[in-house]
Amino acid sequence: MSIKYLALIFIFIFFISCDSTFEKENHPFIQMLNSADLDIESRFVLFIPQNGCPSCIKKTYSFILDHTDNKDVSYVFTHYSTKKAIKIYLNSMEVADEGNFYFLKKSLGDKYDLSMMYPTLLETTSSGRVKTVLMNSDDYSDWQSLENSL
Amino acid sequence: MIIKSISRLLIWSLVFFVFDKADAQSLNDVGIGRILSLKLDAETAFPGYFGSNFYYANDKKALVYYNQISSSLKYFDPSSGITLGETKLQTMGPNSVGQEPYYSHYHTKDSIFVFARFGKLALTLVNGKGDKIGEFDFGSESDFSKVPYPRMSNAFGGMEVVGSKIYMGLQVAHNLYNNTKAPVIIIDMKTGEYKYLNRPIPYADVNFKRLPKSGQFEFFEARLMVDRTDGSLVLTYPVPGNIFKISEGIVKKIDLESKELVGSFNFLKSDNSTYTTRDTDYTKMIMTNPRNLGFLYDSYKNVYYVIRKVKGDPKSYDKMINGLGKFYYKYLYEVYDNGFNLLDSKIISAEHLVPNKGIVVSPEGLWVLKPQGDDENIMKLALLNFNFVKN
Repeated sequence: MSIKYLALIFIFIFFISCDSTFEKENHPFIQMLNSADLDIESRFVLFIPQNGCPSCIKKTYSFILDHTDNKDVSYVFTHYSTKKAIKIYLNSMEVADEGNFYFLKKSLGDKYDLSMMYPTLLETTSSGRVKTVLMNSDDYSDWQSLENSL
Repeated sequence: MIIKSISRLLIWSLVFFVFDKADAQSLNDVGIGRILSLKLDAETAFPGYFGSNFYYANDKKALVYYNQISSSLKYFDPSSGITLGETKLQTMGPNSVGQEPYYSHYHTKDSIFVFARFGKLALTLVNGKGDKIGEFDFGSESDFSKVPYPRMSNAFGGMEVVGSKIYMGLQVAHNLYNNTKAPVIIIDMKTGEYKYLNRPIPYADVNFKRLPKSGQFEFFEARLMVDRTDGSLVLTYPVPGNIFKISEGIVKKIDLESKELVGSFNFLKSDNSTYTTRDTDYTKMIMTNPRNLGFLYDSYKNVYYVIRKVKGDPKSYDKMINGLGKFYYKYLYEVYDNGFNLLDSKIISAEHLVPNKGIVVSPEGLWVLKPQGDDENIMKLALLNFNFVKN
């Protein structure tokens, strides 16, 4: 086989391996949700660590308040001390549970290396592949991008 | 058939009785005595990651818990654990304490100091009804040249009030250049004037790049305690070996008797630019490194309590990461007389007690918060059994 063809094959493999999306069943966070018997069909799943960066948590709750009726987003609370504290806080914001709030045990989050500092966004694309975004940009462009997608 | 069923029931009852008693014995064996269950109302919850403030209100004979989620102080009967009342803080309007108040200091029933995350660089003084009765500003020198943002340390040791003076323990700036003074502000309530403590400058002999930062800056919270018998200030920085007694401007470093029990501190390599907070070796270092939490003064017994996190086992941590076991912090609890002579000590796993979430001194002694159980409407405090007589 000529060097030219080998180079083309190499480049092809390179670009395929650069794809940061997964088939849904192969994505570790989907496997994590399955382990917890959480069957979430939303296009976007936002993992919200309660013990993380305070401004990030504040931003997340602000986002929930603005999009509570949007069925394209589900919220999974992680790394929390108590579910009660989260429910009290959501009640104080007059956010009703529309069936898209979930809780994930810390041990599972740690096992799958879910960030305990920043929210993580899981997006299922139109092709059925799943990708993740760590929501930690300094200029909140990641949040803006999510807003634009909704 | 019936006899067989009854026999089986009796055997299983005996089995459960034995295991229940064994569990109770294990708590006693590790040095835990009375357990107090606080009954939480619908808006009160266990503290979050950074913990919250607990006090003993001598004038009310009540335990006080600052419930951050409702911005209110809750009062509990120290015998039964039932809620006796509350002081609700205001975050808006003329009685505002600022936005997101996270530190409250109960001094007396009508003198409660509050510090908020946003809104003002000041302590607000409220009475038992939550009405604002005073304010102590410390923001007029806010060029942030001394600390990046004057922010009180969490859970305990962030504030003491003695006579007309307020002492505030703040976070250490996480770079060398901002630490030109100690992260302690002293406010004179009579004049309203405030000043930073000049010394000891935190970690003055350490290359700050070698300190693991962690997401929550756990190596940067200074905690203080005032010994009421001589007016001296005991200041603790989290990295072991950094405990100081300050009296009339003289700073003395304190070496505690039991330092070997805590273990050695691992610093980052000097070329640590490759470390990230998601690096397993980095997180292992943070999780297993020992650190000082702080001192508490017991005016009833005239002793000091010191709480420190013991060096963790890296192998246990590796097992936990790989899903093969559990990893719990262990804390060393010590009691000293005011000559720093050790009277007693205990090492207790975070499986039983979480001092970083809540800790309080009452006439009975030192109480430490237990981890949240299954019932989220109950929060438990455990009294430690110490021997207060020097052998």
